[in-house]
Amino acid sequence: MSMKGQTFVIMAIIIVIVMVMLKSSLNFVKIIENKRYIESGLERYQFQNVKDELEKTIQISYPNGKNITDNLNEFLKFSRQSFKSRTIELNGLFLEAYFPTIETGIDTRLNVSVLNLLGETINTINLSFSGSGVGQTQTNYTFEDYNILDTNFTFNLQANVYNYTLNITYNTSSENATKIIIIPTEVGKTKYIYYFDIRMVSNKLEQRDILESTVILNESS
Amino acid sequence: MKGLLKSLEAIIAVLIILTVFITYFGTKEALPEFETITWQLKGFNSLKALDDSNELKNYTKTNNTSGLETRLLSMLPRDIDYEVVICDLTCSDPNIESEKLTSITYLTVGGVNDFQSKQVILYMYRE
Repeated sequence: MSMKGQTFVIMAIIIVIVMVMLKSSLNFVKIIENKRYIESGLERYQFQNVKDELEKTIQISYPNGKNITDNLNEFLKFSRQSFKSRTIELNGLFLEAYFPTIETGIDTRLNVSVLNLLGETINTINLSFSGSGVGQTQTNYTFEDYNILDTNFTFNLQANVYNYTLNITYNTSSENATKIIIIPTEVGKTKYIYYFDIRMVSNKLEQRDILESTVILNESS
Repeated sequence: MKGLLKSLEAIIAVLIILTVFITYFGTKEALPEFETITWQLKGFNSLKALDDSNELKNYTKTNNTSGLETRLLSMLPRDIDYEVVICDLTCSDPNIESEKLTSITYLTVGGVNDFQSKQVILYMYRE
Protein backbone atom coordinates (compact mmCIF):
# COMPACT_ATOMS: atom_id res chain seq x y z
CA MET A 1 0.00 0.00 0.00
CA SER A 2 1.48 3.34 -0.99
CA MET A 3 1.72 6.36 1.38
CA LYS A 4 -0.23 8.52 -1.06
CA GLY A 5 -3.27 6.25 -0.74
CA GLN A 6 -3.26 6.38 3.08
CA THR A 7 -3.32 10.20 3.12
CA PHE A 8 -6.96 10.15 1.90
CA VAL A 9 -8.03 8.17 4.98
CA ILE A 10 -5.85 10.26 7.33
CA MET A 11 -7.32 13.46 5.89
CA ALA A 12 -10.83 12.05 6.31
CA ILE A 13 -10.16 11.27 9.99
CA ILE A 14 -8.84 14.80 10.56
CA ILE A 15 -11.92 16.31 8.89
CA VAL A 16 -14.19 14.09 11.02
CA ILE A 17 -12.41 15.22 14.23
CA VAL A 18 -12.83 18.90 13.22
CA MET A 19 -16.54 18.32 12.50
CA VAL A 20 -17.11 16.65 15.89
CA MET A 21 -15.29 19.49 17.68
CA LEU A 22 -17.37 22.09 15.84
CA LYS A 23 -20.61 20.36 16.76
CA SER A 24 -19.58 20.01 20.43
CA SER A 25 -18.78 23.71 20.65
CA LEU A 26 -22.43 24.52 19.87
CA ASN A 27 -23.81 24.18 23.40
CA PHE A 28 -27.57 24.02 22.94
CA VAL A 29 -28.23 23.43 26.62
CA LYS A 30 -26.51 26.69 27.51
CA ILE A 31 -28.40 28.59 24.80
CA ILE A 32 -31.73 27.27 26.12
CA GLU A 33 -30.69 28.13 29.71
CA ASN A 34 -29.88 31.68 28.58
CA LYS A 35 -33.30 31.97 26.99
CA ARG A 36 -35.00 30.80 30.19
CA TYR A 37 -32.97 33.31 32.19
CA ILE A 38 -34.06 36.18 29.93
CA GLU A 39 -37.69 35.02 30.09
CA SER A 40 -37.56 34.85 33.89
CA GLY A 41 -36.16 38.40 33.80
CA LEU A 42 -39.35 39.48 32.06
CA GLU A 43 -41.38 37.86 34.84
CA ARG A 44 -39.31 39.75 37.42
CA TYR A 45 -40.32 42.94 35.59
CA GLN A 46 -43.98 41.91 35.77
CA PHE A 47 -43.68 41.23 39.52
CA GLN A 48 -42.04 44.62 39.93
CA ASN A 49 -44.88 46.12 37.88
CA VAL A 50 -47.39 44.96 40.55
CA LYS A 51 -45.23 46.25 43.41
CA ASP A 52 -44.73 49.63 41.71
CA GLU A 53 -48.46 50.02 41.04
CA LEU A 54 -49.25 49.12 44.67
CA GLU A 55 -47.05 51.98 45.83
CA LYS A 56 -48.52 54.24 43.19
CA THR A 57 -52.03 53.36 44.39
CA ILE A 58 -51.09 54.63 47.86
CA GLN A 59 -49.77 57.87 46.37
CA ILE A 60 -52.80 58.56 44.18
CA SER A 61 -55.36 57.56 46.82
CA TYR A 62 -53.68 59.81 49.42
CA PRO A 63 -54.73 61.21 51.89
CA ASN A 64 -57.88 59.17 52.51
CA GLY A 65 -57.05 55.99 54.47
CA LYS A 66 -60.25 54.19 53.44
CA ASN A 67 -59.70 55.05 49.78
CA ILE A 68 -56.20 53.62 49.93
CA THR A 69 -57.45 50.35 51.42
CA ASP A 70 -60.34 50.00 48.96
CA ASN A 71 -58.18 50.83 45.94
CA LEU A 72 -55.35 48.53 47.01
CA ASN A 73 -57.72 45.64 47.57
CA GLU A 74 -59.32 46.23 44.19
CA PHE A 75 -55.97 46.41 42.39
CA LEU A 76 -54.67 43.28 44.12
CA LYS A 77 -57.71 41.25 43.10
CA PHE A 78 -57.46 42.68 39.58
CA SER A 79 -53.75 41.81 39.31
CA ARG A 80 -54.38 38.30 40.53
CA GLN A 81 -57.03 37.71 37.86
CA SER A 82 -54.80 39.20 35.18
CA PHE A 83 -51.87 36.96 36.16
CA LYS A 84 -54.14 33.95 36.39
CA SER A 85 -55.15 34.40 32.74
CA ARG A 86 -51.42 34.18 31.94
CA THR A 87 -51.05 31.00 34.06
CA ILE A 88 -49.08 32.86 36.72
CA GLU A 89 -50.18 32.74 40.35
CA LEU A 90 -50.12 35.94 42.36
CA ASN A 91 -50.74 35.25 46.02
CA GLY A 92 -50.16 36.88 49.36
CA LEU A 93 -51.43 38.31 52.60
CA PHE A 94 -52.05 42.03 52.76
CA LEU A 95 -52.54 43.92 56.01
CA GLU A 96 -53.38 47.61 56.16
CA ALA A 97 -54.03 49.78 59.23
CA TYR A 98 -54.82 53.45 59.62
CA PHE A 99 -55.99 55.83 62.31
CA PRO A 100 -57.39 59.38 62.20
CA THR A 101 -55.65 62.40 63.70
CA ILE A 102 -54.79 61.61 67.32
CA GLU A 103 -55.61 63.88 70.26
CA THR A 104 -54.07 63.23 73.69
CA GLY A 105 -56.39 61.50 76.18
CA ILE A 106 -59.14 60.80 73.63
CA ASP A 107 -60.04 57.33 72.37
CA THR A 108 -58.78 56.77 68.81
CA ARG A 109 -59.78 53.94 66.52
CA LEU A 110 -57.21 51.88 64.63
CA ASN A 111 -58.87 50.44 61.53
CA VAL A 112 -57.34 47.19 60.34
CA SER A 113 -58.02 45.40 57.07
CA VAL A 114 -56.58 42.02 56.05
CA LEU A 115 -56.95 40.65 52.53
CA ASN A 116 -56.41 36.93 52.12
CA LEU A 117 -55.00 36.10 48.67
CA LEU A 118 -52.93 33.16 49.83
CA GLY A 119 -54.79 30.85 47.50
CA GLU A 120 -56.13 28.83 50.42
CA THR A 121 -58.35 29.21 53.46
CA ILE A 122 -56.82 30.58 56.65
CA ASN A 123 -58.03 28.20 59.35
CA THR A 124 -57.35 30.60 62.23
CA ILE A 125 -56.22 34.22 62.20
CA ASN A 126 -55.37 36.01 65.38
CA LEU A 127 -54.89 39.78 65.59
CA SER A 128 -53.50 41.11 68.83
CA PHE A 129 -53.09 44.83 69.55
CA SER A 130 -50.99 45.72 72.58
CA GLY A 131 -49.12 48.54 74.24
CA SER A 132 -49.48 51.01 77.10
CA GLY A 133 -52.87 50.34 78.72
CA VAL A 134 -54.08 48.27 75.75
CA GLY A 135 -54.40 44.53 75.28
CA GLN A 136 -57.03 43.50 72.74
CA THR A 137 -57.19 40.26 70.78
CA GLN A 138 -59.48 39.10 68.01
CA THR A 139 -59.62 35.61 66.58
CA ASN A 140 -61.36 34.61 63.37
CA TYR A 141 -61.85 31.16 61.93
CA THR A 142 -62.21 29.92 58.34
CA PHE A 143 -61.05 33.06 56.59
CA GLU A 144 -61.57 32.16 52.94
CA ASP A 145 -59.31 33.05 50.01
CA TYR A 146 -60.30 36.34 48.29
CA ASN A 147 -62.03 37.59 51.47
CA ILE A 148 -61.36 40.75 53.42
CA LEU A 149 -61.35 40.90 57.20
CA ASP A 150 -62.18 44.39 58.51
CA THR A 151 -61.80 45.08 62.20
CA ASN A 152 -60.70 47.80 64.61
CA PHE A 153 -58.99 48.40 67.94
CA THR A 154 -59.13 51.38 70.29
CA PHE A 155 -56.26 53.16 72.01
CA ASN A 156 -55.91 56.27 74.14
CA LEU A 157 -52.59 58.00 73.71
CA GLN A 158 -51.23 59.57 76.89
CA ALA A 159 -47.80 60.59 75.56
CA ASN A 160 -46.87 62.54 72.43
CA VAL A 161 -45.41 59.52 70.68
CA TYR A 162 -45.87 55.81 71.35
CA ASN A 163 -45.25 52.60 69.43
CA TYR A 164 -48.07 50.07 69.82
CA THR A 165 -47.71 46.52 68.54
CA LEU A 166 -50.03 44.68 66.19
CA ASN A 167 -49.32 40.97 66.20
CA ILE A 168 -50.78 38.84 63.42
CA THR A 169 -50.70 35.05 63.60
CA TYR A 170 -52.37 32.75 61.10
CA ASN A 171 -52.32 29.18 59.96
CA THR A 172 -53.39 27.46 56.78
CA SER A 173 -53.04 23.85 55.66
CA SER A 174 -49.55 24.66 54.35
CA GLU A 175 -48.11 27.35 56.63
CA ASN A 176 -48.07 28.88 60.09
CA ALA A 177 -46.92 32.48 60.27
CA THR A 178 -46.49 35.26 62.80
CA LYS A 179 -45.68 38.86 62.10
CA ILE A 180 -45.23 41.76 64.49
CA ILE A 181 -46.11 45.17 63.06
CA ILE A 182 -45.23 48.38 64.86
CA ILE A 183 -48.00 50.99 64.93
CA PRO A 184 -46.18 54.31 65.45
CA THR A 185 -48.80 56.65 66.95
CA GLU A 186 -48.17 60.36 67.32
CA VAL A 187 -50.33 63.20 68.56
CA GLY A 188 -51.70 65.37 65.74
CA LYS A 189 -50.98 62.87 62.97
CA THR A 190 -52.95 60.49 60.78
CA LYS A 191 -50.96 57.49 59.63
CA TYR A 192 -51.40 54.57 57.28
CA ILE A 193 -49.37 51.41 57.93
CA TYR A 194 -49.12 48.51 55.52
CA TYR A 195 -47.54 45.08 55.45
CA PHE A 196 -47.71 43.12 52.19
CA ASP A 197 -46.38 39.59 51.86
CA ILE A 198 -46.59 39.15 48.08
CA ARG A 199 -45.69 36.01 46.09
CA MET A 200 -45.59 35.14 42.41
CA VAL A 201 -45.32 31.57 41.11
CA SER A 202 -44.95 30.58 37.46
CA ASN A 203 -43.50 27.56 35.68
CA LYS A 204 -40.21 29.45 35.35
CA LEU A 205 -39.82 31.34 38.59
CA GLU A 206 -40.95 31.79 42.20
CA GLN A 207 -40.68 35.22 43.75
CA ARG A 208 -41.63 36.57 47.17
CA ASP A 209 -41.26 40.00 48.66
CA ILE A 210 -42.33 41.84 51.81
CA LEU A 211 -43.41 45.45 51.42
CA GLU A 212 -43.97 47.37 54.64
CA SER A 213 -44.01 51.04 55.47
CA THR A 214 -45.77 53.82 57.35
CA VAL A 215 -47.20 56.81 55.49
CA ILE A 216 -48.18 60.06 57.22
CA LEU A 217 -51.53 61.00 55.69
CA ASN A 218 -52.17 64.18 57.60
CA GLU A 219 -50.68 66.27 60.36
CA SER A 220 -52.28 69.14 62.18
CA SER A 221 -50.12 72.26 62.54
CA MET B 1 -3.53 -2.43 -9.09
CA LYS B 2 -2.06 0.60 -7.25
CA GLY B 3 -4.48 2.92 -8.97
CA LEU B 4 -7.41 0.73 -7.93
CA LEU B 5 -6.29 0.74 -4.28
CA LYS B 6 -5.96 4.54 -4.32
CA SER B 7 -9.46 4.88 -5.67
CA LEU B 8 -10.78 2.48 -3.02
CA GLU B 9 -9.09 4.45 -0.23
CA ALA B 10 -10.46 7.69 -1.59
CA ILE B 11 -13.99 6.19 -1.61
CA ILE B 12 -13.52 4.97 2.01
CA ALA B 13 -12.39 8.48 3.04
CA VAL B 14 -15.45 10.09 1.40
CA LEU B 15 -17.74 7.51 3.03
CA ILE B 16 -16.27 8.21 6.50
CA ILE B 17 -16.83 11.97 6.08
CA LEU B 18 -20.35 11.53 4.74
CA THR B 19 -21.38 9.11 7.53
CA VAL B 20 -20.17 11.43 10.27
CA PHE B 21 -21.70 14.48 8.57
CA ILE B 22 -25.14 12.87 8.20
CA THR B 23 -25.08 11.44 11.75
CA TYR B 24 -23.94 14.64 13.45
CA PHE B 25 -25.45 17.37 11.32
CA GLY B 26 -28.40 15.57 9.73
CA THR B 27 -30.81 16.01 12.67
CA LYS B 28 -32.24 19.51 12.72
CA GLU B 29 -31.97 21.19 16.13
CA ALA B 30 -33.85 24.47 16.08
CA LEU B 31 -32.11 27.33 17.82
CA PRO B 32 -34.28 28.99 20.53
CA GLU B 33 -36.18 32.08 19.51
CA PHE B 34 -34.64 35.21 21.02
CA GLU B 35 -36.07 37.94 18.85
CA THR B 36 -39.58 37.87 20.33
CA ILE B 37 -38.15 38.05 23.87
CA THR B 38 -36.25 41.17 22.87
CA TRP B 39 -39.52 42.64 21.55
CA GLN B 40 -41.23 41.81 24.86
CA LEU B 41 -38.51 43.50 26.91
CA LYS B 42 -38.55 46.58 24.69
CA GLY B 43 -42.35 46.72 24.75
CA PHE B 44 -42.52 46.38 28.52
CA ASN B 45 -39.84 49.02 29.11
CA SER B 46 -41.59 51.42 26.72
CA LEU B 47 -44.89 51.12 28.60
CA LYS B 48 -43.10 51.45 31.94
CA ALA B 49 -41.36 54.61 30.75
CA LEU B 50 -44.73 56.08 29.76
CA ASP B 51 -46.23 55.07 33.11
CA ASP B 52 -43.31 56.57 35.06
CA SER B 53 -43.75 59.86 33.21
CA ASN B 54 -47.52 59.79 33.94
CA GLU B 55 -48.31 59.72 30.21
CA LEU B 56 -49.82 56.24 30.13
CA LYS B 57 -52.85 57.20 32.24
CA ASN B 58 -53.89 59.76 29.63
CA TYR B 59 -54.33 56.97 27.10
CA THR B 60 -55.82 54.34 29.44
CA LYS B 61 -58.35 56.80 30.89
CA THR B 62 -59.97 57.34 27.48
CA ASN B 63 -59.10 53.95 25.95
CA ASN B 64 -57.07 55.86 23.38
CA THR B 65 -55.30 52.92 21.72
CA SER B 66 -54.46 54.76 18.49
CA GLY B 67 -52.86 57.62 20.46
CA LEU B 68 -50.79 55.16 22.45
CA GLU B 69 -49.75 53.33 19.29
CA THR B 70 -48.56 56.61 17.76
CA ARG B 71 -46.64 57.42 20.95
CA LEU B 72 -44.94 54.01 20.87
CA LEU B 73 -43.78 54.53 17.28
CA SER B 74 -40.50 56.13 18.35
CA MET B 75 -39.96 53.68 21.21
CA LEU B 76 -40.30 50.30 19.52
CA PRO B 77 -38.09 48.73 16.81
CA ARG B 78 -38.95 50.00 13.31
CA ASP B 79 -39.08 46.54 11.77
CA ILE B 80 -42.04 45.25 13.76
CA ASP B 81 -45.77 45.85 13.65
CA TYR B 82 -47.76 46.21 16.82
CA GLU B 83 -51.23 46.71 18.18
CA VAL B 84 -52.43 47.88 21.60
CA VAL B 85 -55.46 46.67 23.55
CA ILE B 86 -56.53 48.60 26.66
CA CYS B 87 -58.99 46.68 28.81
CA ASP B 88 -60.22 45.72 32.27
CA LEU B 89 -60.23 41.96 32.85
CA THR B 90 -62.09 41.00 29.70
CA CYS B 91 -59.92 41.83 26.72
CA SER B 92 -60.72 41.58 23.04
CA ASP B 93 -58.56 39.46 20.76
CA PRO B 94 -57.04 41.57 17.94
CA ASN B 95 -57.06 38.52 15.58
CA ILE B 96 -53.57 39.07 14.24
CA GLU B 97 -52.38 36.44 11.80
CA SER B 98 -48.63 36.21 11.82
CA GLU B 99 -45.96 33.53 12.09
CA LYS B 100 -44.03 35.61 14.59
CA LEU B 101 -46.32 37.06 17.22
CA THR B 102 -45.80 37.88 20.88
CA SER B 103 -47.42 40.06 23.52
CA ILE B 104 -46.78 41.60 26.91
CA THR B 105 -49.23 42.80 29.53
CA TYR B 106 -48.65 45.90 31.63
CA LEU B 107 -50.83 46.72 34.63
CA THR B 108 -51.63 50.29 35.55
CA VAL B 109 -53.77 52.06 38.17
CA GLY B 110 -54.35 55.46 36.58
CA GLY B 111 -53.66 58.77 38.28
CA VAL B 112 -54.63 61.09 41.14
CA ASN B 113 -58.42 61.22 41.67
CA ASP B 114 -58.74 58.77 38.84
CA PHE B 115 -57.98 55.34 40.19
CA GLN B 116 -58.72 52.68 37.59
CA SER B 117 -57.10 49.26 37.28
CA LYS B 118 -56.36 48.56 33.61
CA GLN B 119 -54.41 46.13 31.49
CA VAL B 120 -52.43 47.37 28.54
CA ILE B 121 -51.68 44.49 26.19
CA LEU B 122 -49.10 45.18 23.52
CA TYR B 123 -49.12 42.70 20.64
CA MET B 124 -45.94 42.72 18.56
CA TYR B 125 -45.55 40.84 15.30
CA ARG B 126 -43.91 40.72 11.90
CA GLU B 127 -45.95 40.18 8.74
